[in-house]
Amino acid sequence: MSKENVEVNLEKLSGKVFVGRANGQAARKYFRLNKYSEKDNRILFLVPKDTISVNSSFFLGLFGEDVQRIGDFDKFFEYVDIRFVDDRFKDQLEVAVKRSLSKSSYGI
Amino acid sequence: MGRFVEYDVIPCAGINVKFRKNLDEFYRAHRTPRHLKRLRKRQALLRRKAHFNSQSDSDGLVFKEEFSYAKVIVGADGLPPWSATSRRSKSPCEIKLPKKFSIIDDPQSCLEALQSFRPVFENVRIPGVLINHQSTREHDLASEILLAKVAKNCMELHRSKGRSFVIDGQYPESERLCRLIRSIGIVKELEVEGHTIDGDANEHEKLVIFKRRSSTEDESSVGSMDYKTKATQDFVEHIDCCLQEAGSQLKDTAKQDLAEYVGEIVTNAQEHSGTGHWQIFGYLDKDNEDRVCEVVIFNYGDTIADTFKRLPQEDFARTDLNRYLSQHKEKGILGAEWEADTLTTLFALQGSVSSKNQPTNSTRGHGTVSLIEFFQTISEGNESDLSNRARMCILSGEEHIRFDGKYRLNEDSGRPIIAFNQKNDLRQAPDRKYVRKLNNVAFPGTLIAIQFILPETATEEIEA
Repeated sequence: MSKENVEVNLEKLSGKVFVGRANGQAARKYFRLNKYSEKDNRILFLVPKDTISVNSSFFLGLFGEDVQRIGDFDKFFEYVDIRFVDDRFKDQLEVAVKRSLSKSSYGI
Repeated sequence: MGRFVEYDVIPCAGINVKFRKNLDEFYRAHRTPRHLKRLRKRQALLRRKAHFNSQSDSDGLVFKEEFSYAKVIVGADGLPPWSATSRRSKSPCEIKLPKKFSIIDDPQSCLEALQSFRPVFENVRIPGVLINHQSTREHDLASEILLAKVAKNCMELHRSKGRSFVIDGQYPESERLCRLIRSIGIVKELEVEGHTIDGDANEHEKLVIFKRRSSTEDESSVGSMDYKTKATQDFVEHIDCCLQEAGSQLKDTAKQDLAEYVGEIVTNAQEHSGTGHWQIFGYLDKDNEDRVCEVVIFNYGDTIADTFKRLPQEDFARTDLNRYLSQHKEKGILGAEWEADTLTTLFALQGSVSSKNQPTNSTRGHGTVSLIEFFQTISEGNESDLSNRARMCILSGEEHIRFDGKYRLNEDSGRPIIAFNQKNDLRQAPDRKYVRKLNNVAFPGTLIAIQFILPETATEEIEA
């Protein structure tokens, strides 16, 4: 069964900077992301060209629940497709997800 | 006590001047030049008092709150705000600033110098202060901002009590430092006539400071930008604008890095301070060949250690911290050499550590890592050049952590760790030169300051 594509385009929000977990959570509500799941959907994440920054806190506010639920780096990015996102943002978003999933005890 | 209250009733033109509040009516009824002059003077005093006691100033920050925090900085908290019975002093109080007036490099001397304001907060009969910058050889933006804030609050206090208050000062010898003080320091903050750098004639000399503060009505929304988003966006555009005047601009990657840095700190300040208030200051010295840039972001309210101390012992966010502290206690590091607040502040910098993490959502705790990473990126390549080395500090309450590139984040074990020791091992004690507790001085909240030279790799020339 093919998955339904859902577009999450930041163009629909205002501003060139996307910062803050609370703003990310507000955007999650706006895009109704709780309705979707990795079983039935694929999220296409799009960032407008004139964007200055997509901060990791915003991205984790937007998709933190999915990161936590899926619990796997590759599977998460199968669900949230960021291939059309500019490289300068992509690296930071991948690092944020990787760090959220890392489990260690700080050597203590 | 004013002389009018000594009389029960002063009958005059049918007005009973039994209370001070009836004075205005009394003056108006008489209308002699002398009485009208008194009336104007009294009304000006009432306006100043009303401003001092008002809930918010024009910029929206609670003025009284800032005044109370200024008192904490000078060590006058807990004392009565002023005393009319104190002995009158004819000479101003001298505030001698240290050679290194820097929150980043020498917070102890810097905050001790600010504590020299204490007598002026206690006694409104001291006619003013003399701020002596003459010995100062080095300073930073954070120290100048705190000096200006303390002096301004001090002046407001004296004026609200109807006392004149003169702030006099002596510039440092260095021309560059003078320019900074006139552009961004106390002289600018107090708008000292004839000294601030303003106007087209001095445009080439002007060093434009960026400043924003939070709004009390700030809420997250999708349809419009909140204050922290706007401040972050404006700051990046401000730095870009300064560069464009000199024929270059920030690369897109540098904009992203700068916005990540500023945005994460401001978000942390808003979410963890307990007050939700933050302030940001910054500048790029475009006329300096080295393109020196400074950013200061601070919030009053809870310190980093406070936010963790308030959590219940069994809270999810405290699990790793408790293990860390008990290890240091067993080794005898905690207690004898280190205090819990200092080590808590250090631990809070590690990746995935956040007082708001929960078992169901533990994706927080990357903001501080982002700021350290930004610092590491812009300090790369100039580690050997001591004079041009990028520097940063986190000052939270009495705890001070300094960064100069010597100790770096390491992610080999999964989570980003910076332990401030040679082995980057959190089980060992940190370097006391970099992680320390200040002695009898404190900042009532958290302040992050960074001073760096904008690297060539962050900018590109504008094509004609």
